Amino acid sequence: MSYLWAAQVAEARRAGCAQRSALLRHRYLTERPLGMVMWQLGAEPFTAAAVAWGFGPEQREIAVPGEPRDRELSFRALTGVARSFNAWFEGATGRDQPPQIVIPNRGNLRLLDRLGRRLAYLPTDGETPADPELVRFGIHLRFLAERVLYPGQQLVVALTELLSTHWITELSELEGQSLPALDAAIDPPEHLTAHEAARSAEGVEIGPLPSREDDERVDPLVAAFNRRRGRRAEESVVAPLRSEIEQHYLQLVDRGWVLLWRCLARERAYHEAPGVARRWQEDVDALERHLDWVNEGGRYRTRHTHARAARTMRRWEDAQRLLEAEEAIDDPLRMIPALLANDAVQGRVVDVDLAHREQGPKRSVRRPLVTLACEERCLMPIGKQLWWTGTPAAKHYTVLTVVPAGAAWHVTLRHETSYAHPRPEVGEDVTFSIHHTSASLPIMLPDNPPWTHRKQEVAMDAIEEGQDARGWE
Amino acid sequence: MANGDSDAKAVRLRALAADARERRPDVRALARFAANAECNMASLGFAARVDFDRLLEKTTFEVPFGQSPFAFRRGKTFEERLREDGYAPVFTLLREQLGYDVGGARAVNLRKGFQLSREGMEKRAAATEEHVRRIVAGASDAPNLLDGAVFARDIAGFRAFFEADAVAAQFGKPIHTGEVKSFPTVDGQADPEKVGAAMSQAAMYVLLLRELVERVGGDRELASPEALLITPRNTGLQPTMTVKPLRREIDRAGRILLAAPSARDIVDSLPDGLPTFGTIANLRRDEVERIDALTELVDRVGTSYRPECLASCGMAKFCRERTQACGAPSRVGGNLLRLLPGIDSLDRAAKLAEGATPADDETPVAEQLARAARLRSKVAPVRTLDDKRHRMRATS
Repeated sequence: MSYLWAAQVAEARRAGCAQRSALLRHRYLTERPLGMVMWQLGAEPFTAAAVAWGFGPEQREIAVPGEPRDRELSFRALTGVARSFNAWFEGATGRDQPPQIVIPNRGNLRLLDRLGRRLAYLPTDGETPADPELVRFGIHLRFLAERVLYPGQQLVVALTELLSTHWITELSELEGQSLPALDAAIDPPEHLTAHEAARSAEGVEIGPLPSREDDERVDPLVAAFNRRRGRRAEESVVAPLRSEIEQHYLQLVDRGWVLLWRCLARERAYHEAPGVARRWQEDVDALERHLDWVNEGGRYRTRHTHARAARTMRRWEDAQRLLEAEEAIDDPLRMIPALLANDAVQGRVVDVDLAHREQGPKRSVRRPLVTLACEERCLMPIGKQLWWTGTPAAKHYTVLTVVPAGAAWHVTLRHETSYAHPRPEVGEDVTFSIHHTSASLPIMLPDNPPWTHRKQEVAMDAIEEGQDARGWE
Repeated sequence: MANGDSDAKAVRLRALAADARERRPDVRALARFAANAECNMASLGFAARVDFDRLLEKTTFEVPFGQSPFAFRRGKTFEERLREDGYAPVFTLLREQLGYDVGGARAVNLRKGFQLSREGMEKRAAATEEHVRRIVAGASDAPNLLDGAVFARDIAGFRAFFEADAVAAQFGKPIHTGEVKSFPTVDGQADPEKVGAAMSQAAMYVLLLRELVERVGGDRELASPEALLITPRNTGLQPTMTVKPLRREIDRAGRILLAAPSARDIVDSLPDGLPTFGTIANLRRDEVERIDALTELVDRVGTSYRPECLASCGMAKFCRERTQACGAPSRVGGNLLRLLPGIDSLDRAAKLAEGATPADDETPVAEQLARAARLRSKVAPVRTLDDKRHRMRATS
């Protein structure tokens, strides 16, 4: 955390409303994402009491099993979601953009992950075969849950994360998990400060974990539903019996549904940062690889090796570095932490010496020099490697000298290449920073891992514990 | 002499608590007390045995704690399953994981046949002690499993009872404590946060068991430093058991037990004539009156609000409001607090960022803040409520 954040928290307090931590929007938002809002029953981890999904504030479908702890009822409701999700996600319904899923918070993310874990490995043959749609739904959810760990990914947008990466509030991290509170701090209603607005909004639960009161209200409804259906699960029997439960969850879902689209619209109004496009392309590529592999009938890869873990870790680290670099290069506000940490220098170009030569190991080579005049004292060590934000993927510059020049400081940088690159011109205001977008060194791993790094295979199985005849009560 | 002193404290604490709802210290209350040891108010409440969760009931600062009835029943159902066929599911797990010989294994349910009262708990504690004595002595009729063992111990000057889910033992093996939880273990993993909380509870039971084993003449090392965590496996309610090593948690639990008695010392520094917890908790009184009383008490005792309090303390919203009013950085969290050492309010931070002259100890931070604010102002103006409203009108 940098002093920019500290200063902006203080500004947020004084102004009574949240401050932007970015001038631009650093996440891609498609024109027509799929919104999803879910609710759990109590702490039941592997099933949903309600799933709402749709493409806009007015466009919402909902699946309510009535008794989510009953395998048949729960799977039937989820199959409805799965059909519509799969058709859209796999592109069968003619969407004109790659799919993007928007959910309110991390709780929904974890629930999707757990549902994926339950559904992806269900047997589609045997005594109680699962609907293949359900299994594919699970496989897609598993893919998304893993993709979420990739820094800067945009296939799944959890709004609390989207907002907290673009706004600075006085809310603590824990309070920022509440989308209603976060939204209120950003857009407090008339006559209220951010704090007052967030305080009154934080009581609104939008799921997926129900509050005690909400579950106390649905408890008698579920009990009556179970009493009236006996042990029967046929749709014709249960559908007419569960309307009260559906009404309950419609109310609960609506608390979050409109909010979700409103928050999304507000973020969409900010200009998109240029770096977003590359990251979105990465997401789309990952998605296509996943869909191809599912089409080929693949089951989820379950063999985890140390080599794979090392490569995955490297990919995530690279993605994180690139994300930070692109955000800083795209957005002057995001560059400030680097300036504060003396990892970047800003100034006006006063001299460019393209003809400068230095003695190399064999012969003298051309090493152009760029000199900046900085208003602020430059605390950069000599020899530090920096990249010009104009060419962040090109060869780096090295800090050569830092000398006072009147009220200003002159910083001379040497470009470590003789090629005819674009370089800053005299009179231009420029930024040099440690942020760059060139590829990192490839990771070299032995073909045969040493004995220390061999691991037994762990196969993933269905986690369905069979239909317990006694049920859950 | 020491005794007389301690009695005087007890009298004062009782007077302060008055008729506020009582909370006996169980393992959770101890953990909560330990979580914010810097908070005088929390220590005082702990020593006076006041239930903070109910203190601000029916005021604007009420914090809704409580469990969904479904979650509660899930836990109960799971526990009942473990008791079936004379605890057969548990013994099966003990055989698989710890090599118990389960032929003729005996289980004792200490949750049954005792009153839900202080006397009942006292008797359960005595029964637990007797069973553990026989286990230590290697008696042939010693039980192998105690369901709902109760440990009695003096905490901060009064007798408290701690109810452990399970104690498992077999002759020639270490004695284990067990925790039963209804969150699932999938692919050998459970939610690490929940496991962490369960393990700090279990560590406390290990310590209490060690003390008990020593009291009945055994070697304290007979109590295993590992805890058994029994949870449902995967999506169903089939139990699974994980053996968790606890060294670090046990050290921590030991420190908590050592710190607990000092909670009472706070009362020495308090003047007479303070409002009582009874007044604050009194539902028949006006809310303003209750909050005024609390404010007066807190002003004298002192608190230490951190955002983490919101997850565990019934007074958290009240303290947050006070912290917000004075603008202390701790309202936002530890990250901010560490960035702003020696600066007690965000208002001061804003002034320093604007270029106010810093005091000596503020200088390093002030330079950074001012530089950050200067760089920020070159790039974007501060967003104000007016901007927001103009903008909203323009778009609507």
